Amino acid sequence: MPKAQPDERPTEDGRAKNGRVNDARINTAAGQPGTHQPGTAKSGVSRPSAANDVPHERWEDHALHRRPALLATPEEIAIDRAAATAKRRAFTLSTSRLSMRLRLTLWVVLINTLVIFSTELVFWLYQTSAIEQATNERRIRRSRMIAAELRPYVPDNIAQRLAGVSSELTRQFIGERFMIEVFDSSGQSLASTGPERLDAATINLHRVLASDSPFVVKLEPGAIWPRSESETPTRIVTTTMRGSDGNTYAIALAVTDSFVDDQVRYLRSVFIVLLLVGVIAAGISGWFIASIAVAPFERLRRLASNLMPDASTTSLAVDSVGGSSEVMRLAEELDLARARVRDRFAAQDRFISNVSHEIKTPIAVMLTEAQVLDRRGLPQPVERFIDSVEEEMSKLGRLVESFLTLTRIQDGKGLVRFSAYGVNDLIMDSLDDCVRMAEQHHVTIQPELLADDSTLDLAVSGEPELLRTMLNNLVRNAIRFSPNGGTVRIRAIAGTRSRNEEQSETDQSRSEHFDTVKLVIADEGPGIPPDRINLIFDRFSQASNQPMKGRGHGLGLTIALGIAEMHAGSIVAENLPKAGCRFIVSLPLRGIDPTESSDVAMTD
Amino acid sequence: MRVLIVEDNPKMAAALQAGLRENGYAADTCHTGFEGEDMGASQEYDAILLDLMLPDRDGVEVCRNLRRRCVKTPILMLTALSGVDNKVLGLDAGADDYITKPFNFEELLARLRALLRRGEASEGRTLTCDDMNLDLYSRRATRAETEVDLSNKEFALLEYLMRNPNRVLSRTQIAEHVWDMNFDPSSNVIDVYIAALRKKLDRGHPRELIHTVKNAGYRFGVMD
Repeated sequence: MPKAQPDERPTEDGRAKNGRVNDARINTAAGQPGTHQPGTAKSGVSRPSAANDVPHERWEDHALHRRPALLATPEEIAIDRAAATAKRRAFTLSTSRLSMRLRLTLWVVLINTLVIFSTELVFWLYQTSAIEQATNERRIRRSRMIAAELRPYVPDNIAQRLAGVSSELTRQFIGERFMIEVFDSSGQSLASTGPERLDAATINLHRVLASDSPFVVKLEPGAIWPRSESETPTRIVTTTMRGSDGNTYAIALAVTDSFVDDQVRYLRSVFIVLLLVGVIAAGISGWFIASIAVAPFERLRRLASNLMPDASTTSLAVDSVGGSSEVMRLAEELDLARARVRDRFAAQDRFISNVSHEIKTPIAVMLTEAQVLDRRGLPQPVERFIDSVEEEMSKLGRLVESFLTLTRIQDGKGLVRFSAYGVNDLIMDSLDDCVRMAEQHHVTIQPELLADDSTLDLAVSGEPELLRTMLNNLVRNAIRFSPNGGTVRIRAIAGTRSRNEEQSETDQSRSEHFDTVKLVIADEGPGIPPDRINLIFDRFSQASNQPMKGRGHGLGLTIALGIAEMHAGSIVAENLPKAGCRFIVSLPLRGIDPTESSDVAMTD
Repeated sequence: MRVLIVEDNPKMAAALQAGLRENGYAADTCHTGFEGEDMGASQEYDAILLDLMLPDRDGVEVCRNLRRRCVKTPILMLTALSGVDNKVLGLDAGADDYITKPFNFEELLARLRALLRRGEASEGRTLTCDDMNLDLYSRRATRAETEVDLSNKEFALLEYLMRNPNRVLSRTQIAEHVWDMNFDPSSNVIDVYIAALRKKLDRGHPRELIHTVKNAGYRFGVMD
């Protein structure tokens, strides 16, 4: 991830060379309109999040080559999280993992289909064999009746009588083709209703004649009549009868099977419809059952996504009371995991506050002792030493304080509380803090507040303490680089995001709805060397190598930028055409940011 | 002026005591919360410097106990912790101000002076002018029975104006008294804060209280 940074730099350097105004624009993703465009989201992800991303680099290299934004704003964390979700989703799809709901549904459908299909198969086999059997019995009965009818006319008048029986049968076998053939005991055909002749072997004629028991055979379509006339198979029943002369004769009744076929086909379509209905019903019910099963997890997920590690948010187990035992167990596990995370956070907090106390106390003791010491009558070198102690101790104290602030900004906890802070009050409070230093350095601070009636009480939203630290750091930086007798100007400008140019404040009548405020801190110092303008927000990076009065510790601008980003703002540094440089802080005004509706929000 | 120092680090306590004495204060020290509560409640002090981390109990607790025992002495908290939560906790418990170690001794003195001024001024005192009321103890401003929400600086400016009613106050005077500094004549700070006060106090009221005196400054009071 951090490797994205070097790629960006050549273009910026190029711009710095041919542009009149060197411009190190360090906008956060959140500071710009349209934050949620994919491109911005990507930059949010690729932002180096902490120094330990590149453990093998030397610290100095690291500080020099890294761009300043080391700090993730809540927005960026949100973007990171969204990206992680997207990644997870992509992963899920790539390994063709289906959602639990879909999986459950598919299983229900599969099992139901198998059950329905096998049940239908059993029924099918039973039904078709029953139909076969009933038809055979019916045909045998029928051919016995025909035999009884024909008996008196065998063998002499058989042909005429057969014609009469045939026409009679036509009325009974509606929609079927049929034929009757009569054989004598030797297997010779005596008469037939049609031109077709049955094959003695096919109908097992000799066995029937010998055993005297009926025989049924089913022939494929086309065996007797051409396929074009009948598509159904033909069933042939061969029985014996005793003729008027006392001899045994055989009679074969061949009838097409349309009726049986229809019945079987009907049965089949019923079964298919049943199967389809069953599968669809299984699908729908499976989906709903799966929804019921998955719902508690979904609810749990929603609860968990709003969860903060601090104790103020309620426990999952309490919130999901009424869920099934599995869900309860999961919720309890999650609560335990959360408690462990919370303990870690608390331990870290304790550690930081202990360290801060342990380090700051001796510094405070020494500083106070040096400051209250009665110096009357002390030799010159001792007095110089005390001055030096005082100076170094207060410097060390500021450094420790800055480190703690930096830790706070960087540990990803975000803003703990939001409150309104008047822009003018912010400037004046910062002035209170910095005026002593300005006097020491013979620098005048000249504030220019929001003066218009509509902008008088515009306020930003955030932690006043941090915002004040941010402005203090920028003002102190400006004082440090100002020449003797110079002026540091602090100017507040209300504006809208669409109009970035500072002209917007001159014609305020045109835009009554401001959504950002710019704080411009300008000095009359030497400006920022063009080759360093991109680096000034880095830790321990000093814009000039010459010793400056009251040289800072190199963390002030990093902290200022971090705080601005925490408040969804940005800081831009640029050199002024004549002399000096200016830092422009952009912060969203209160009432613009949707996250500020509650006073305590966003602990991430 | 008598100040009580409750600080467990003996060197720190001694240094503070020496520094305060040099600046004309009488200072007593004690090293535990128990002693601090006892001394703070039983003797008359003008201010208490209270360390947040004490061996036997939390400074916040000491502060709360003192307030519970109706000790109204202004309390200035000293601490090495700089978290916002701690500050809020301390102020909620009844402390009046808060200073983070390591501090500049000059700053400590300045804050102490401010506290003492406030303590002195706020002994049940209310500034009144027409229907404008300023309660210095609870730091609340009301105009015609309606509470007006003021920032610290606005409050300080209004207090200065109300302490000098019907007098023309120049911008320089205001800057020196309210901000303790001088602004460049081209700076709009005073005008902006006067405008903010006007917006909050005078808008919608028939009688204006803040008047501009051309080329001179401002005057507070009802116009005859």
